[in-house]
Amino acid sequence: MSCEEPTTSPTPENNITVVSSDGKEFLLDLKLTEQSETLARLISNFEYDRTDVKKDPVPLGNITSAQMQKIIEWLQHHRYYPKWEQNDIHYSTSFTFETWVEEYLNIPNNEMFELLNAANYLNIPRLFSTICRIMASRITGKSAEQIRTVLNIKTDVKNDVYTGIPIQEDSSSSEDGMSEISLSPSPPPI
Amino acid sequence: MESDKPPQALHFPRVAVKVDSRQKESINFMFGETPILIKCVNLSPSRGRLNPLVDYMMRNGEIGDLQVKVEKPNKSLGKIMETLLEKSEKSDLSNWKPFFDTNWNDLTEKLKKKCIDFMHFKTRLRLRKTSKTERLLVDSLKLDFDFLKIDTNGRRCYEECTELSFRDSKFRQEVYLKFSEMSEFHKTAVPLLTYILKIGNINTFACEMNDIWMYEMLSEIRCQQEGNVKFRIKKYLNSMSLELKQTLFVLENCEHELKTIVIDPKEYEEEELQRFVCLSTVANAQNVNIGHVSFTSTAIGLIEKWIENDVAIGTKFEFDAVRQETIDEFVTNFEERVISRNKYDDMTIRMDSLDRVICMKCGPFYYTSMTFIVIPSDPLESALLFDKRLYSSTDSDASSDEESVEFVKYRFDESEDDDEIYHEPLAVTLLKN
Repeated sequence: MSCEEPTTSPTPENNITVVSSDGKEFLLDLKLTEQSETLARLISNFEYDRTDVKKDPVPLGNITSAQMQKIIEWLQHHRYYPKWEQNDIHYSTSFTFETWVEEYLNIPNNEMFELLNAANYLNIPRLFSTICRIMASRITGKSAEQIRTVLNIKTDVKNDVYTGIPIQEDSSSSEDGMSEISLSPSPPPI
Repeated sequence: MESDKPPQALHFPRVAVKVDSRQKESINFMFGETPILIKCVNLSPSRGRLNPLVDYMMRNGEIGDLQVKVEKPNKSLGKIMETLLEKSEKSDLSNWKPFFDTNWNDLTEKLKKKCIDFMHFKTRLRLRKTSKTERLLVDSLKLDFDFLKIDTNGRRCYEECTELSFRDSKFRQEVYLKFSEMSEFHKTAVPLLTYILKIGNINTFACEMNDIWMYEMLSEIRCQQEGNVKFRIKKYLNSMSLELKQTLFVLENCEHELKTIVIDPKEYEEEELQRFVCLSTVANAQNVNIGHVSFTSTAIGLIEKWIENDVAIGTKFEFDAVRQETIDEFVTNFEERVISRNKYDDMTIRMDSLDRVICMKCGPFYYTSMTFIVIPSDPLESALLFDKRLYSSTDSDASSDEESVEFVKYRFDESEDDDEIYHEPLAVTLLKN
């Protein structure tokens, strides 16, 4: 395990230390950092992959220790996965996930959004894409009102200057029926 | 005597301070058994000061459970915690964990767009109904469609009706809607159609609808988009419309990516054809097919445009016209450019570029099909041979010719964006196999 609690032991050669926003230190295997484009670029720029270079702790000001813990869990699980292919259309359109991923992302929306921000900051494309897909799958098949509830969207309403009654401006009558179109059965997988 | 007694400490079993994203504070606390909620405005929590009321409670009372909730992570939370630690005597912060109530609204536009990219078309339509912000966001994202089609009785139905169908390229979900009444079509289909044409990159737009319905649709589009209409279509097919007016409107507002135009108007003026030929989208299209042309000299104007624009090899123009009249007019127009003419009246015309020529083929009948295609000038004979093979199915010699194979390949390469509307249903294909 590369994920460890704050440590004072000497840093092994193939590890770097990252510091979360709340000051916790994590030892991270260089092999794991390959999945994060941000860390990989940083390591390459500072030549931290060389044994004779002194490795200073990397501060990650936008990521809390809880998020870092979660991210390391992801990196560990995908350690031996093939390199992420951005244009894999069959992967990107699917709403079916590994059991492990489903359990891993079985978290409240607010934590999910924080993790999305962290994945974006560290540039971990597989995690980023998976969270986006999970978010999309959470609102698929839901009505506009249900989507508002799930995503905690506050509708843009204005109060009538005379009556004080909210005026709903965000849907026109001609567009109301548009979102209620019925879909033909999904095509078989290719 | 009473005044000498130290004042009894006030007891607040629970105190919750919440700072929302608009920097407004609310304090929810229990005074004994009584719950009290106080909302504060403009107390500048961003400066990291402890709320004066909480400050007072801490100095003059006992707080059982203090909860501080800040919607967005900001510097004020750290400062508030420092103040709390200074002022409190028995604080236990070992299990303290900052709780930021991040939600969809806190995501950046870029991240929201990435999430929307993974949503089905129908989900996007529903998301854009949730608020004005989401509507603007969803509408700013273009979506690719394999096809958008309007036709009559495309799928079997007991009564005759007009069908609107489309399929997005990413999720390949096909949608079809049927309408028997004009009012129904106007109410449901037109807004949807308008929307798809507005946000979609459409591979094939097959508009097989009569002129009245088409007029209705285009009027709505014009009205909704306040004259700023821009279609992104690769193939435009319309063999139902008798007039050229509606097609002209679509083509005039198409971006230059239009590759194929297949139309069959029957009731139009020469002036309209002239307008059609002069359109840059028509001149730049790779494949133009007008079913019937009464004013051939005007149609030949397109060939002049080709020469002027030096169009790419493979560009093709087809129409039906009176044979001899067309050939005569053609020869009159391009007399100086005709390189060769054979006994079938097939001709090659010189272009300004030396590497390409225009090949003209015509059928044998009085009223026949005319085909113009830009081919490489070098393997000229092969090009003619290929054309013979294409237009005369009885000519079997050509199929064995190696060079002609090259041209066949080239012809197929040209239509890389396959039209998938007319694919056989999967079930039928499987049964056959």
